[in-house]
Amino acid sequence: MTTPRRTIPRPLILPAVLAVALLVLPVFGLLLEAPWSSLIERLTSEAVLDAMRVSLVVSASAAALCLALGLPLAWVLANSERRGIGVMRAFVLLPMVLPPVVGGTALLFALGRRGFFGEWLDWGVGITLPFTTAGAIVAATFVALPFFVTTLESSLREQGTNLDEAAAAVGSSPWATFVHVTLPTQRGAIAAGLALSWARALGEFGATITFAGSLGGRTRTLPLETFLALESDPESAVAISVLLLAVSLTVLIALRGKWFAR
Amino acid sequence: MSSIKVSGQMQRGDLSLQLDLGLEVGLTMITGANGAGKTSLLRLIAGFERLDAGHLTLDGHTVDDAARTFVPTHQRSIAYVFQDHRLFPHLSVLDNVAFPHRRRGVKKAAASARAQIHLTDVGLSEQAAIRPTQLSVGQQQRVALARALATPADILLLDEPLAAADDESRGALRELIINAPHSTVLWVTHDPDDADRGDHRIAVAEGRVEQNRKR
Repeated sequence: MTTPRRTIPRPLILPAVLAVALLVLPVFGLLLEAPWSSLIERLTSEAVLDAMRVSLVVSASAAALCLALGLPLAWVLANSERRGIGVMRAFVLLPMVLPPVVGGTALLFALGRRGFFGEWLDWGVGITLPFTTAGAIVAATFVALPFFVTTLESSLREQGTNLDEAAAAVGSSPWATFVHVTLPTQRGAIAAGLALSWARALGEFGATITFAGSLGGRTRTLPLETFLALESDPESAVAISVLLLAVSLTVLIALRGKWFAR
Repeated sequence: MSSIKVSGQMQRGDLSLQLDLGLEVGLTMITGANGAGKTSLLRLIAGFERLDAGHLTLDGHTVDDAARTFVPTHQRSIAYVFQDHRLFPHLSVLDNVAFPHRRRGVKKAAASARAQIHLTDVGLSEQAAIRPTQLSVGQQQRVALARALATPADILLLDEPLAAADDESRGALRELIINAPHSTVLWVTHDPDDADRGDHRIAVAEGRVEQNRKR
């Protein structure tokens, strides 16, 4: 016995098709315009290789920071019932809805040389963030962190506290339980969170250019290089776009089991 | 050693548990209808629930006074068999049973050797290498029992530990529990044959502990 297919209400069909077209057409446009014969050549030019290196360093570091900072935060959000948790969660989600350029501006005013915290960092500790690779990493982490935290928080909530109780009931301390039960049982969610936050960091543009600028070999990531190349060498811009598209599709395919049940 | 004293009250949803209970060393059987509060009583002693009023002392030490004092589960000398087993899905059957020893700093080889003995006791030595999800429900429950028996603690809390046991193994498992090294054993059961075996017996009805008599 199978359930019959639901009849789609007719007025919904056209808008749905248009929506798919809006999402699919640009991808086809990119693939049609791509300079396939000179693709490798364009992707291995010095400027693109530099941007690739910067992008890899920045996105991988941002993903690592998301893991190191976001996993503890996700645990707290999933398990704590203290007051203020709701406000904390709102701040975690903020970068998802905030225009990235606003995020970059905010970072500049907080962590820039004249910013209230940046001044202390600069004079006190000797760390300068704006217009450095480290600054680009901070900007990428700022926008990518919510993706990691929300993925892990929902997975931790779904798992519940049964296994934590089982571990405590045989004498395991909360930290030992985190290391020996939570981490290994959350491997899949951690991988998904890393992939998502890494992909978001890789695509980051607005916060990066505002906070870290577009300095070749230091803060000019692949998206920034693409934007720059559009003016002078549009075919290279398309080539980089094809590369980034391929990376994004790979992430989607890798995560399909997580989000696409069917 | 390990006496349990609890007097006070806890409220969880619809259930209000009124407690005035003193348990000495030995095997105490806990009976009562579903939803009467048997599991809540075990969870309270384990530290998964808190008292709303009153206090709980284990071996003379207050571990919960409904106010400032609260000793968390892992610092209470307890082992627990859950009704729903709660085996670690990422560990082999052997590593599940070795887990309590590993968390007490026992080296892997020694912990595995001890775990193997406990698995043999519950008749699952041949399933050591597989994951708990590949076992039948009855087998999973035996692993949960082995894990609790492997836990060095004064108090053993058992929530229907033989509910899924087949008739063949029930007798041997019952003897295993009766001979457990833990000084104080609380055993929630529906089975009248089990209930007859304890040193003490408590009936929990509608959140009230009705008797606390020595047989």
